[in-house]
Amino acid sequence: MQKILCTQCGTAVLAEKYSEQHTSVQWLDDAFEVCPRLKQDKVAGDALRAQRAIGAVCPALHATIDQAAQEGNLPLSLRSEPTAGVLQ
Amino acid sequence: MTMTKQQTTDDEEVRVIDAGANPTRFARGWHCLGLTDSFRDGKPHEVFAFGSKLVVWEDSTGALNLLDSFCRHMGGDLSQGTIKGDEIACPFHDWRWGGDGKCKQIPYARRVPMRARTRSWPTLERNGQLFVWHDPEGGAPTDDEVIPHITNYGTDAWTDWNWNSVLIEETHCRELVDNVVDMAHFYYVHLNQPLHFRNIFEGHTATQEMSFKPRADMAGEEFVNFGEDSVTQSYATYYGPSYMINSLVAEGGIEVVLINCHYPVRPDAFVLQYGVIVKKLPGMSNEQAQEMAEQFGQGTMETFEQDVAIWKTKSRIDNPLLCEDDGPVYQLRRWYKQFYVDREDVSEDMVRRFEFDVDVTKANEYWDREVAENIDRQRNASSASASATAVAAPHA
Ligand code: FES
Ligand SMILES: [Fe+2]
Repeated sequence: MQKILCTQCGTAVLAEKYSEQHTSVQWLDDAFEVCPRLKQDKVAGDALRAQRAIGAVCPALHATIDQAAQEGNLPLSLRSEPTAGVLQ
Repeated sequence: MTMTKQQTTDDEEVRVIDAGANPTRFARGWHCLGLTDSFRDGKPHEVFAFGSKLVVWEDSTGALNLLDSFCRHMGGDLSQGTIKGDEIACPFHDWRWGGDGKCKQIPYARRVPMRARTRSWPTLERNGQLFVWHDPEGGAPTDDEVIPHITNYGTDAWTDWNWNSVLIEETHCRELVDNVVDMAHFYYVHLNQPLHFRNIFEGHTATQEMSFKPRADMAGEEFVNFGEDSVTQSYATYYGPSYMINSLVAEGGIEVVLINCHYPVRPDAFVLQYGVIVKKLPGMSNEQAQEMAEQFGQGTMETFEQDVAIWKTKSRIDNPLLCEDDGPVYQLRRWYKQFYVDREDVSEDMVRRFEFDVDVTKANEYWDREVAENIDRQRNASSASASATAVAAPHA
């Protein structure tokens, strides 16, 4: 996995892509603290409404990762074991 | 003997399964034991869980209490006893135990001895269900370890639970939890084709977000589907090790909430429970809606039977061999591990947010083709048997 900085908020995450459609993101901090988008969309209380927020990802971060891949800064990789963990 | 045996060369070494061993400890977390109403019949109920036997009973305030079932006096089984006032009375010598675990009275004795206290288990009633907190270290849940409210439950717009319970033996519950990431098995085992598949693990939650359509080549088969060609959106989240809330919204407007939960009985057995509520459709009577919930409950039972059939004969495997198109099995198990270690051994990588979007492109190309071929074959076979019938008919 490779370190990527979100162009929107500057948060550092580890990212990996096996293909154009696949993305893995390993957050290094509390995502709901460091990502303004996730923080804003977080829902408390009702399980079903909260679930839609839990199942969502930050579009700015994923756009950053996809762009890095397109520009050749995040080469597509193959699956490897053992699984990379939090590196920090 | 060895003459014809083919030697494998170093670069094609055989992959060996590491089956590991079922953990002997049980997960820390809230575990759902069933619908609260099922314990409110004025009788004590036995529950085999966490390698032991527990007893549930309702006291006069309506609270459900949970104690170790074996009486600390001479080992009598409290679940075979009777409820007397706010206490459970042992069938052996009538010692009376309170919900707080203290022996309140011994009718034939002058006094209750010192330290006459048994284990009382923390309980929670939510969403019409009873939960028990299990922690081998004896600790309490944190503020984050909550079972969320399903606010639709208990409203007029939704039905009541259709609930089922089944004992699964010779299987560790990790097999059930693995399903969260197992994209491809939905096609092969559950006959639904995932069109989009994402996992997110964070804190004590593990989420699967997916959309799927039923396999068109299985139209004649019995399986849970929301109508041909209809795409269903599904959000499923585990809150802790064993309680999953799955909300399903089909294109036709059908909305279902499915609970998939379990509690361990022994290291190699668990009780799987599942329940559904459905949103009443416009113009639907309560009976019709409850009927629909029953149908989904029945369908869910069949879905789990498909899983059970696999679990029955599969091997436990600690080192699955994955392709790029599989879900994040290792990361899911890393998340799951947090519930099997002491609190102080929960590491960052078990709880930090991890996101994984499965690329389903190749899978869907292949599956669409396979489904189309199967349908062609079915058509040919049925037209062939139709003409065979035509030929045979005069002789009949
Ligand atoms: S064993 Fe329960 S009262 Fe004696
Ligand atoms: Fe399954």
